[in-house]
This record gives sequence, C-alpha cells and structure tokens, in this order.
Amino acid sequence: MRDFDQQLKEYGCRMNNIRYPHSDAELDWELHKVIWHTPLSKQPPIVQPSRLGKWVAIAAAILPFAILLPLIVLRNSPSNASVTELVEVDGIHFKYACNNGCSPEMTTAMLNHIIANTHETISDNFHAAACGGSVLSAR
Amino acid sequence: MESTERQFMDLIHRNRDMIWRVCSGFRLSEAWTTEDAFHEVLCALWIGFQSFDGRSSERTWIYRVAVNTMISIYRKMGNQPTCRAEPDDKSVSPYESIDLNDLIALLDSLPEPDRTIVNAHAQGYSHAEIAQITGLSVAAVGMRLSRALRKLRKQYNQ
Repeated sequence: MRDFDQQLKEYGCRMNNIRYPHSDAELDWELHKVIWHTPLSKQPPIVQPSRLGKWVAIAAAILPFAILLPLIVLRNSPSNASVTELVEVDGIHFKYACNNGCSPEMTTAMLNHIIANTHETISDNFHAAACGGSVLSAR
Repeated sequence: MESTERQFMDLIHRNRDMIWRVCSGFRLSEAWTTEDAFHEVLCALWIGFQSFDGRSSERTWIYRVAVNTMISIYRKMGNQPTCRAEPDDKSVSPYESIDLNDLIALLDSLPEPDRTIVNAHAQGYSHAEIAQITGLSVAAVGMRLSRALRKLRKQYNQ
C-alpha cells in the first residue's frame, strides 16, 4: 500500500485534471438558463399586490385626476355664465348676465359710468363693453 | 447582451473546470447528478455575482460559493443513500482508482470544514486561499489541516 501523502498527492492531481466535459456552446446554454430563470439578489423582490393593495393602487392612480379634473373644467369654463343678477341704476333694476365673473357692484359702476359719459339710454340690449356683460332686462 | 451577463459568463468560462471539480469531489445521492450540482452552483454564483465586491480573488470566491452550495445540497440530501458520482465519459474521475477510493472514503468521513480544507490543500490551494474559502483564519486553517492529516494518516495506515 502506498504512502498516504503520496495518495493524497495523486488524488489532488486527479482532481486538478478534471475538466468540465461540455463544449462552450453547451456551457453558454446552461448559463443562459441560469441567467434568465434565476432572480438576482439585488433586484427588488416582485411583490404581488394584495386585493386591498391593488385597490389602493388604483385609487392612488385615479385620485389626482378626480381632484384635478373638476378644477380644470371650472377654470376653463366661463365662470358665472348662467348667473343673473339684479342691478339698480337710477331706480331702474337691470337683470344682467356677465360671462367674466364681474360682481354686481362692478357692473353697476360700469353702467353708471356709461350713463354719465355717453348719455345712452339703457336698453335690454345694452352691453357693458368693458366686461362683456349684457343687460337682459330693465324694470 | 448586458455587460453584467457577459462578465458573469466570462467568469464562469474561466473557472468552469474548478467549479466542476468541486461538484465532482462530493459524493452525491442518486437524486443528484454532478450536472445538477453544477447548475445549482451556477445559480448561487449568479445570485451572488453582483454583490461580489472583489475583496477576495474570484477563484477563492467561486470555490467558496461552490463548496457552500455543495454543503447545502448535502444537507438537502439528508439521510438519502449516497453513491459515487458517475464519471462523465470525457472527464477523468478521481474515483477511478480503487486505491484512491479508500482515500476518498476517508476524506468523506471528515466533518466540514476539515473536508474542504484537506480537499483544497490536495488541489494546491495555499493556507491563505483556504482561509478565504472557509472564512477561517490562516492559523486556524493550518491547525485544522495538520490535525486532519494526522488523523487521516493514522486511519489510512490501520
């Protein structure tokens, strides 16, 4: 029987002589399988949303639009377009509509200014030129 | 192909023989072939590849990952009966010699990490490299190796 150390040396030599038995292409194929099917440790784990989490995610996605959309619509729509007010000038009540959001006081001041400077007769079709409001009726 | 994948594939191509040696050096149960073990080691290496910071050489890092994976496989095997890995036609198996089989049986009887230490020593790894592979100090590697070899010599000569 040979010496133990000699045997160990031979064992080491044989181990070192073991070669991976496949071709480069086969190893590449093996590596492709590993790379494509094994998640990397540094990648964040793929979290499957729970039912509640899914609804929270949907709500979070919709909520900004739900808040912003009415604001956008209001901002772009003619403000107070349908509002009619009664304005009194020289004892006459005017019903007017202003598409630009003018207050009754402002329109009253505008009407007074026009009456004072142009002496025009205020009629149902009078247009307050400065603001684009129109008088609908005068009583 | 992404550069990470290319780097990984290059790394494996450079060290495939060594990985295969580690896989071949363990006696596996019938449920595990050396190729299965090789695949497991590749997966472990790929998972750990991006966290490999180069503190040790790539050779010792790969050896360590391979050994740890093989130990995990051993644990998974549990009490399954073991058999010698069938040598591939194109590879030279360490189990070809009957005389060596006695030695291999003795090596297999060693507990970890002594088994890995003796195996790496037989393959020509330095104490420093074995220390990096096993995570032990160089002094501890020297001491364990010395004790293991003494024990093996004694058992071998009986």
